[in-house]
Amino acid sequence: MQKSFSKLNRKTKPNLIPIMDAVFIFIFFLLMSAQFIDIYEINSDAPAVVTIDKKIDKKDPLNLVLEITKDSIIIKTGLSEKTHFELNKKTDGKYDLEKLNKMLAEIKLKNIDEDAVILRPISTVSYADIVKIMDTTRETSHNQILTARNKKGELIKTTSLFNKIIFETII
Amino acid sequence: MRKKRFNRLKKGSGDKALELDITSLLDILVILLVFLLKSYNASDLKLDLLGKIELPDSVSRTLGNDSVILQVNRDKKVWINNVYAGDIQTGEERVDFIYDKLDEIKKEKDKTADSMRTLASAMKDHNKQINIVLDKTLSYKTLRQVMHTAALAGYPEFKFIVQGNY
Repeated sequence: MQKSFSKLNRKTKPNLIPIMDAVFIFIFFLLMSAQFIDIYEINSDAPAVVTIDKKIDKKDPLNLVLEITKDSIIIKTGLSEKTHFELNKKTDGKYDLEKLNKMLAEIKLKNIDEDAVILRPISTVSYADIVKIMDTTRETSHNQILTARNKKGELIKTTSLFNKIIFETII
Repeated sequence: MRKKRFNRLKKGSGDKALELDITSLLDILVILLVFLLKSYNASDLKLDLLGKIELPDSVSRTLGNDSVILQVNRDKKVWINNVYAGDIQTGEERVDFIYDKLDEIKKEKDKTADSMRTLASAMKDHNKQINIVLDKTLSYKTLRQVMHTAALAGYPEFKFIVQGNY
């Protein structure tokens, strides 16, 4: 009687060896495949010229163009490339990206179906600045949700602005 | 006599098996595992940055894909698929050595795609992509030269490789 009680009282220990083996293998797999810099990509396509047989829309297309100069970003719209707004650099010498994002969000609300933007930087603009501008044109700040009705009358909710980026004068 | 001593030793060692305390080791392993899981990137793009390239920061969260990798460092030295190809000179929009190398790679890849008939179209579409890894200090002029040459060589889908910032 006493013997069986002491048997029950004895602590049972789980066999950790197979778990340890699995963890070790997993660690080596992760170490081999680890990349300690977070690498992502931003897509852009070379402009393509196509002939379309579709009936041409009477409405002037958005044709959003961002002209990036040394001191400002000029937002142009329409086929005639009418200047919509000019954003000068801030006093610290950086482009006013917050204001650009707001302006683009306003344009997006009026043209919810549009997702293309043409970038036209001058030769001296740095690549880092171009990437920042691309980031600003792709998404709303703080994931703000834009709600508007498209041409078909459907309610569209989106956080993306103009994520189809095309660089002019590539070909 | 010897047998008696051996039996005594055997009895003594059998009573208390030597146990290692592996709790601290397990703690370390768990921490290492969590750290590695956090830094794990599911992207199939494996990139070795050459020539001290500094990537620009971005909020993009799109994972990269494996395709031709073109790297340009701040001295305008060019590596294509981790092989040094030459230096970009200021001047013409089309950079001949980049064009020749990309054209060569394209032909090789298309040949491989043709040999695998079922996957040919998918592979050919994938072959239009190029990963552009540029130093953040370079100007748009260099980027334009690279994009122009790549597009002419049959790579019109540019993937700008950037560094994620949280």
